[in-house]
Amino acid sequence: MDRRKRILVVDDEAPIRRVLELKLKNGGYDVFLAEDGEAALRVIESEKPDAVITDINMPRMDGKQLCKTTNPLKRERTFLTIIMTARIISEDEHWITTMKDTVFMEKPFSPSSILERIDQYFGVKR
Amino acid sequence: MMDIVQYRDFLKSLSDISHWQFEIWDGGGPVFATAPDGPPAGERETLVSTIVTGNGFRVHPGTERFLAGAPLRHEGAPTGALLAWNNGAPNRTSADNVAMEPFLLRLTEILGEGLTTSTELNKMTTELSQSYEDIYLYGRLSSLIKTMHFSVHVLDDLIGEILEALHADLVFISLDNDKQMIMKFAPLFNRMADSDGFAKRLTAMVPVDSPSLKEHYFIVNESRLAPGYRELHADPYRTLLVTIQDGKKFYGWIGVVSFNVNHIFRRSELRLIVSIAEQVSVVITNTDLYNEMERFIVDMVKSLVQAIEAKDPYTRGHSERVAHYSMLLAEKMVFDKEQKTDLKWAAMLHDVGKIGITETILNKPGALTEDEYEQVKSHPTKGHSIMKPLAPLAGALPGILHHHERYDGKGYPDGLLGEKIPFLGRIIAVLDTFDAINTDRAYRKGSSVRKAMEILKSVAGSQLDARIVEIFTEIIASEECFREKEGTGEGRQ
Repeated sequence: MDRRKRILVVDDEAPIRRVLELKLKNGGYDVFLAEDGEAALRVIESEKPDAVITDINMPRMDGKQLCKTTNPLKRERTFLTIIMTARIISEDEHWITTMKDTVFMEKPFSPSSILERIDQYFGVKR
Repeated sequence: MMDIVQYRDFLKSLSDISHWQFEIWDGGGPVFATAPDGPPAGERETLVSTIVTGNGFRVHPGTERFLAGAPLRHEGAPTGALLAWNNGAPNRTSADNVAMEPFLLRLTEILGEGLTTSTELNKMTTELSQSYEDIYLYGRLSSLIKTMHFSVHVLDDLIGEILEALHADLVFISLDNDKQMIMKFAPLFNRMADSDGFAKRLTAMVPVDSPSLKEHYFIVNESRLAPGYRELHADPYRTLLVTIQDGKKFYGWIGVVSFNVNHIFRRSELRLIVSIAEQVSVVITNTDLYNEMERFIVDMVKSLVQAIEAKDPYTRGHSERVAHYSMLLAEKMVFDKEQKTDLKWAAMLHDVGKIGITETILNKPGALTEDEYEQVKSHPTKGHSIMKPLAPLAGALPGILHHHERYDGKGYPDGLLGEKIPFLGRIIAVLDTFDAINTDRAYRKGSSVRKAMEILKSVAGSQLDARIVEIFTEIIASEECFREKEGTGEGRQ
């Protein structure tokens, strides 16, 4: 790996941020945290993460708005977006498919399968 | 390993505003220093070892630079040291060197607390992470178990999930009733010639008086220490065996085997498997109850059919035959399980209303009077009202009520037209007509299969649904039993 891949975790629930932070750090990634879409935008700007894992329901700016705002940025420098949501409703399914390099995973989530999904994107074999 | 990242910046700024430099040591050696040019390595090493063994503040006896340190403790025990040296004042009695003792002691205390907290936080986060994995797994498993019947397919998925989640080498479910043994292995697992036998011996070896069996499980965390289990495999393994049972009724086992004996089964893993076994037993119990209810219905239907046939000997076997044909048809038309059941009951019971019609009319050899014919025509509605109170047969009712409707709308009781006639009714109409022509009746002898089919085709589209007649024709052509009978003139099946 030329430089350690950077992952941004966006969730308003601290325990979820903690768990993903530890899991990804142990997996060899640099991890940044944000508790809503607004804070996430600032981190995306300054740290240029290689992947963003985000919740949908958050105060201030939600995950959908965050994706819509960051999607144009991917034309210059793409990154993986993983949307975590409790139940995928068809309306969500639709806008998610219109986003570049964006997938969703269900909540409750398995930390190890999130790590697997990230590894898969970066071609990391363990 | 000490997590000191968060204190580096703090120590660095402290060294920037003073003559002091700092260094942190853990059990393995120095891990961080605010400046590269500290006192000689030997001096520092000696000091660290006196600090750790003496478990208190120490000053190095050298005079070149003032060098002191205090132990870093983790959960009370010294595991490393924080060193400080003064580049400004070598004199041991200078004011800030004297002040360093309480400062270092306080600082190491804070660092120690910080280390303990971050270690604990990591531990708790790891546990939380594991709970998330468990919740996720419970969710997936309960959606698998949300079924009335356990197919091999579902059980297969179930043990696949367990295998993956517990990082096991072998997972099996054995069900005593139907002598079923389903198992799955880890991808790289290749150590066993007779895995079925191994699994059977594992469960057979469980001591019947083991106290944990009261809570439905038995654990061997190290096979080499367990008499009996030691002999079952050359390599050491651990196994978790959970009974599938409902009260006293025993159904079988769920077993998990791992050849990694560096770990033991976690409490949460035990709970998980026990609760899966409970849910499996609930499904099996429900299935048993359901089967029992179904058997009861079958018996009841049989006795009703016997009652009709007792009144009308010419129709002996008629209901059974129509039911038999209906299943051939259902197979051909790819009915699902529920549709099949409804059709079968409807076919068995379509004439049940004849119970309410006098034998003299039913067995009358000659033509019926108008009044007598009206009575015969009432049997679909009579049958419908007899069966209506029985909820499990609700799906069959339209077939009973409407099996004498005609496709052209001239049938009874409701004169429904074409597709308005319930599907079951249209099916039974075809099969009922076929069997009636094919077999002897009070008023005439039965015709051959070929003749019967000709008659059926001639009324397709008027009396009968042409599509069903067509499908039934295909079945007649392909079924061996019809071909043998053909041409004998003897219509009985």
